[in-house]
Amino acid sequence: MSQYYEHYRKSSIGLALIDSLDELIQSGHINPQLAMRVLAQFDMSIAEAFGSSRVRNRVNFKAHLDNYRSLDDVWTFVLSNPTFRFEHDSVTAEKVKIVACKARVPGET
Amino acid sequence: MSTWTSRANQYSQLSALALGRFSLLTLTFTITSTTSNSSCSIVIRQFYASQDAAYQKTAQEYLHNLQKEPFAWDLAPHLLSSQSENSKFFGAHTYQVKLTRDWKTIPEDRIEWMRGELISWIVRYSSGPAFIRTKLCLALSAYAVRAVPQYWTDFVSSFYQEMLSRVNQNVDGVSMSQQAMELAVLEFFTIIAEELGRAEIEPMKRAQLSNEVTNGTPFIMSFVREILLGGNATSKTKALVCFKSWVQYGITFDVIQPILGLVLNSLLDDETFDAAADVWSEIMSSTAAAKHQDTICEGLMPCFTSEWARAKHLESIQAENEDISKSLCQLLSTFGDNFSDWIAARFLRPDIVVYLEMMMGFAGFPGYYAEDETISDLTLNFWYMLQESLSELQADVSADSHTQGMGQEGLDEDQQVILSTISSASNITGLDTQSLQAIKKASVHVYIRLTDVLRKKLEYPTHKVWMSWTRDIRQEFSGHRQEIADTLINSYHVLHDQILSQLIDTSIMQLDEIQKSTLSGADLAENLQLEIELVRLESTLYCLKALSEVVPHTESIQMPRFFSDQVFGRLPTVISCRARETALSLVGSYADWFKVHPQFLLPALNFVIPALEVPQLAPYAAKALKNICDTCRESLVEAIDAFMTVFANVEKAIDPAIKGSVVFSIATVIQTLPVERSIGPLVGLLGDIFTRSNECLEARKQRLSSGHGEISVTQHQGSSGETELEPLSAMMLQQLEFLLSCCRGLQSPLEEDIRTTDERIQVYQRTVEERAAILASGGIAIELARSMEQVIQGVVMVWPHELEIIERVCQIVKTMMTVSQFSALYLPFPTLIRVVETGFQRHAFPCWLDAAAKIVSVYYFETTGGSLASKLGTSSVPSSTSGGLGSSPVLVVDVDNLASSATRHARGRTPAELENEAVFAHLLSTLTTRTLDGMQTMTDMEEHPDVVHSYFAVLSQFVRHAPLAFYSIPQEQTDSLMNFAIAGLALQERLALKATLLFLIEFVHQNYDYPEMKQRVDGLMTRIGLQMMRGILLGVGGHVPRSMVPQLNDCLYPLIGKYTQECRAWMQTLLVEPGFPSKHADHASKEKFIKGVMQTRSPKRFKDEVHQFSNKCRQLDGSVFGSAI
Repeated sequence: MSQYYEHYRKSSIGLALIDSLDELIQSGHINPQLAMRVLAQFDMSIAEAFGSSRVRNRVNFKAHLDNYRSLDDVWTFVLSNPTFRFEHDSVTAEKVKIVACKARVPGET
Repeated sequence: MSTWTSRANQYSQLSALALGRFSLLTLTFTITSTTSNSSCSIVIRQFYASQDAAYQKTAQEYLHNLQKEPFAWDLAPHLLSSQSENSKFFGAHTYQVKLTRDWKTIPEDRIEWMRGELISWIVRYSSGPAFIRTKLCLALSAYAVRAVPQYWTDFVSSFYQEMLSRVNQNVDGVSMSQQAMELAVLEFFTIIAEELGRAEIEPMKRAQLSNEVTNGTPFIMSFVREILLGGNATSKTKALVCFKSWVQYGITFDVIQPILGLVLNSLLDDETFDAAADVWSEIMSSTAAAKHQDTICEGLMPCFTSEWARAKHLESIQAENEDISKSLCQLLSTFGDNFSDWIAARFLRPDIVVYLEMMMGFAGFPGYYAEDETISDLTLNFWYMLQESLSELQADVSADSHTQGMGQEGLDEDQQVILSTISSASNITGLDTQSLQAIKKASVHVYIRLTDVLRKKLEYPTHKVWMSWTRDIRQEFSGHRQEIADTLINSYHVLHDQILSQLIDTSIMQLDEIQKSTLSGADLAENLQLEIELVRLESTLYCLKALSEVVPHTESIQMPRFFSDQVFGRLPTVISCRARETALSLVGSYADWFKVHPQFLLPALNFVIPALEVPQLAPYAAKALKNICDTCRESLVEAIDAFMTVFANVEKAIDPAIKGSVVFSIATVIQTLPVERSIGPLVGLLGDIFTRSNECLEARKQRLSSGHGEISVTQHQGSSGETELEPLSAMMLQQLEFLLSCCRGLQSPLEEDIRTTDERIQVYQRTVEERAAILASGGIAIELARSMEQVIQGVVMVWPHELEIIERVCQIVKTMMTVSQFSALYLPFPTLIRVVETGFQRHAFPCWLDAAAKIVSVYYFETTGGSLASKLGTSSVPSSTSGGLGSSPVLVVDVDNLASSATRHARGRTPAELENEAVFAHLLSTLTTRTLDGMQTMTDMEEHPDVVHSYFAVLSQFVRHAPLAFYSIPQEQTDSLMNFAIAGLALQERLALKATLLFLIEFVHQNYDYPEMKQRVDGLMTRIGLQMMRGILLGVGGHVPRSMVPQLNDCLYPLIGKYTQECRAWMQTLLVEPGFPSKHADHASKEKFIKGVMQTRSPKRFKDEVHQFSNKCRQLDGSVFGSAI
């Protein structure tokens, strides 16, 4: 039973990992059970990487909040015309959806 | 254990004992467990002694492999009996590993014996070494997780009783003292709580364990209580750590409540403070804390405000002792973070005032953050939380009516019900209006002080000290300044214009001091006092800059004071220092404010523009100028001439690295001028750039004609050893960057506001007419356009193979693509198409394809007569082939000349529009010919995924925006590009593969009611349908990465929807082949797949069928991993 969020699996790095594990399974190097363990480890490691103080980058943003909702500790914010300001750069977009989940202590159920 | 020993006799491993040193060589021989016991001790000794990482890695592998062997059960006690502490530790670790991994290999009759064995070892090492005792407790907890309750009932008290019975007994010459027993028991109780929270335990087992734990926790708590009452400091600390692990585990508040008083007392003891503070941090962060807020807060406040804590606080700050401060500050901050609402509602209480004083002290902890201390940032979150809580404070209506006996008399019953509902819903109740006002007033005082404290923490050290810091420390300090900036924004929400007033007054005083210091000389290297004063001023300016995010643009009292001669007019303009850098950033950050207060623009620009000439300040000045020009372009229009004069004066002195930004800034102001008025300023802005560009082009032409060959060298080895552009090419690139900046600046911010299709055409026609009128008047406008064209085309001719330069040209070309505005600088779309075709034919860089994709999306609609309906006629002929290819098996497809076919049906298309249609078809044909010429094999496709990606992106644009042009190219070309796309499905590279799939999805989604178009689409499908299906099925079957299966699904679903009968036939033909699309897909699964996808029109069910079949083909059916995404 995984105790970590699985939503990073759909990130580029998560999809690349799954594709690589698929290849290893198809070539007979590993079995799906081991692949699942690797994926569970990925869920944990990426949560730790983002959750710990290792990520020091900051970004501020301004936007119009179109709507927001909260369900089961998952907050969703839909922003229109946001401007994200990085340290030396800024990026704009038409619409952005922010899905925010409770930052769990790694291992917390 | 003899069974396991005998099994070990045939053990083979990769090691050898050679010449007294145990060398891990690749020799294979058979050893017995006895040999392994001795060799293991040697390897452990060498592992810890060795400095050789490679040896250590091999040794570690060897030891890990050893633990997997059955005889390792015997190895553990052998090692625990040895003299070496490292061997003992490894022995304990071996027990833990074996119990975790090989539990099932323990014979049932030996399970209880094993527990006794482990407890005996714990007894033996109860007095230490601690790391061995801990490891043994970990082994026992691994045992407990598996043995409780079946083989070990009531394990908590049974373990304690077992340990107690062995106190003062002599085992192998070792006697366990009472305190050692307590420490060992506490160790086990601590670890078991941690392990239960962490270990992966199946649900049924977890429930059984939880039950045992629930029964055992009162015993553990009573044991902890006993130690806290009578133990020495070491035992108490251990008891607190144990208590914390159970709080972390999540035992209920009523179980821990009886001990809380003792834990509070532990806070007032130096020796147990840290452990007790950790416990409280854990309690306060737990979910139960909110329900027991009053118990926790009222219990802790007397401790926080006790003489002991105050003395501790004072001592830590005065002595700048971070060790003492950290735990106390952490504790106070955790309290503040979790109970800010409680604090806000009792803001005026004396103990809260003391608490806030302590937090203020920590916020301003002496020294520079990161270099001297890491305490002050712990408090920042609290100030933010407190501000939130203060802003949510509301007067309780019932409290008002109760105290005043008035207030609700005028309200009817409904209103009173609503009021009481609001009141009860409020987080913080019981405050009357007067108290609320008093709190608000007090909070202003607190935040004014906080602002001053934080401002001081922002101060940089002197330059000399700063240079002595490491890079990491500097970065951390800068990051901390940003954190403080965010906290100041929260302060603004409490103080509003008072914070501005406070900071402006401070800056006035600081400027007075600077003035005095300047009397001793303006050289910072020799005038330390001046440097210090400037550092202080910088911190104030930084605060004001941070507040720009929240200061309303209409603020008209304090900020005018700042931008007047009281402050802004007195800012240093001669010395290059951080204060000037921050002042420049500040000016840029208030661009929106200047828009509402244009009278302050001129002084601001007079401050910014001269700084462009100073290398240290130029980047800050350029950024500020960019913000101001971009935001206040309308206000600056009248000053354009003066602006151009100033630019001409400083142009030569501006560093090329920032000139692009300056050119952009000025172009944004020019953009607001009418086209005829913009020409003069544009010539002024670009005159020098065009001159230099032409010089570069001439020099390059001469070089090429002098016999160096067309692919003349454009790169060379730089001084840093890396390849870089040779000087002439670098100079050309620089000029192109300036031109790009200008083109970008000329883009209207309203470009996106194009609405209906009719409007789009009208706007474009108006632009064309305007262009014609301007150019008809001749003169300098034509010169400007010609100069631009000459540069672009010249570069394409003489630098066709230099990627960096061509990428810049493509960016310029893309920036010019606009249908709603006209600038004399922008080239018309036929010229742009010509440039793209020429450039791509000379060298197939993907950036040309990206430019082509944009041309199609921007110009096709407006230049070829609007929508498909307006071109082919609005009354579509009902299609007799709407049932798919099957209902019209024989199609006469006339693709010889679709343009003439379109002409037949066109409604009022002008000759120019028809000509433009042909231009687009020609563009596609050219791009296809050149791309396919360079992609003869799969290897070519794999080596150029960027070209494949961009090519399919163009094709998608054609299918979406310009279908007539798409089907106007020769049939063999259409067939070739479709076959190319099908071949692309075999690519492994994601970039190219995704673009291929997106194109196929776009292609399959085409749906036309016009017979001419439908005939062409259906005809094409007849020719390539089977191959396309083959490619899709191969992809589903495992040739395409699984993450791309959703895209394959998006392609297959509409395909089956449109060509149902054909798809059924294609699939049956293909899937009958054994081993297709994967050897793992059997006949039944193929049948199920065909049936599943053909019978459902529910997208979800369809997706599930594809997903299941894909998993089957990939051997993932039935596995959890198969459903991982």
